[in-house]
Amino acid sequence: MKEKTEKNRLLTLFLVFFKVGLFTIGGGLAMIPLYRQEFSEKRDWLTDEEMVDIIAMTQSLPGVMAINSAAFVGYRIGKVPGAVIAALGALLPSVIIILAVGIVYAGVFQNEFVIRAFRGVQCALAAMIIASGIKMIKNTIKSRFAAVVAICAGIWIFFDSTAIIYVIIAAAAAGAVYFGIRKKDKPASGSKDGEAEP
Amino acid sequence: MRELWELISVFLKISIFSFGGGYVMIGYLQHEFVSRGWISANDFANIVSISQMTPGPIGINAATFIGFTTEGYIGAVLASVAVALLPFIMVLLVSVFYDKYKSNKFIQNVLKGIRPACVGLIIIVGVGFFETAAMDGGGILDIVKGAAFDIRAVILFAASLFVLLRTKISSIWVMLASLAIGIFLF
Repeated sequence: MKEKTEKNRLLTLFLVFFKVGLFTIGGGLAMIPLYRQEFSEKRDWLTDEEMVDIIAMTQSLPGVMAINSAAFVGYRIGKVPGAVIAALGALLPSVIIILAVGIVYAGVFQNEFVIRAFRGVQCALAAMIIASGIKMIKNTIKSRFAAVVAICAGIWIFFDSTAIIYVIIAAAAAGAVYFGIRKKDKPASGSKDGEAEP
Repeated sequence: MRELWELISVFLKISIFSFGGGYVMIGYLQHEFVSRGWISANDFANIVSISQMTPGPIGINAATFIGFTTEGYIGAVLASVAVALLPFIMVLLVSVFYDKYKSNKFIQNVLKGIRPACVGLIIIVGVGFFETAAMDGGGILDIVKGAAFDIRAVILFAASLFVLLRTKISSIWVMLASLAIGIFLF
């Protein structure tokens, strides 16, 4: 009997994350309401605090949020097998759909209309990525330090597109050094505290 | 066989540096595959557009698509697993030590450096796609020197940007509208 409920849990995990993989368009935090509905309202699997942890953790680690949150929730609910099954569930829709699209891609892109249509989409894609960067400014760039890092990273990568990994490493080092030193210098942070600036 | 391993190792490598979501990952992929000449800038922009418009996280979709384009079915499956594998393992490790991880000051400081850098990166990734769409891959700085650009593409770009920043219309509708407009415009 216990074995059966265990199997059901894993199956549910798989199905819920299959849904997550299927309905993530563009990705990101749009998944949180679905998690809340599936794991805390329908089932008593996660607390509100754990929900906050999902956001904090997936945003502090590299990788794709749908997979990372699948690993996190899957592990909480079914240990390592749970994590593997949840992650496979999140991965599978992409593989199936993109394979289907990929098979027709080569043939379709000889078509003149399709080529023109996709020139239009490329304009929107550029706008969309820049818009999402601009929207991130409000929540991310809250201090002089953050502004300097963002501008330096942008300029560096603009002139040397091969440097992305080095930019990330340098930014990580800058954060570690700047905030590490500042902690020791100013235990009681005043108005000069970068993070507290408007 | 060697190409397959090369493909997998690229995805493994970029996955551990992909902070800040799918668009940063797209930036890495652009560098790895377009700069090396494995995929043309135009094909890459189309692959990313399709990855954005189809269901599923854009990072996984793009990985699957690039894997399929370069190495067929097996490449598609392996690329999508490779791009997820190392972050997946990191999440498991962090889950075990979550409370210690959450309160670690050093990690928090490092992230305070990485997060703003990602904003700068994402905007420049977008500029790269603008160059592909409007300038046939030329650099925007060359405009000063009189490089040619397609005014229709610039207008469609500017209109899309305006709608995305100033209205609540979702990006999928903006892309579908541009798809239709593109047929008549270009």
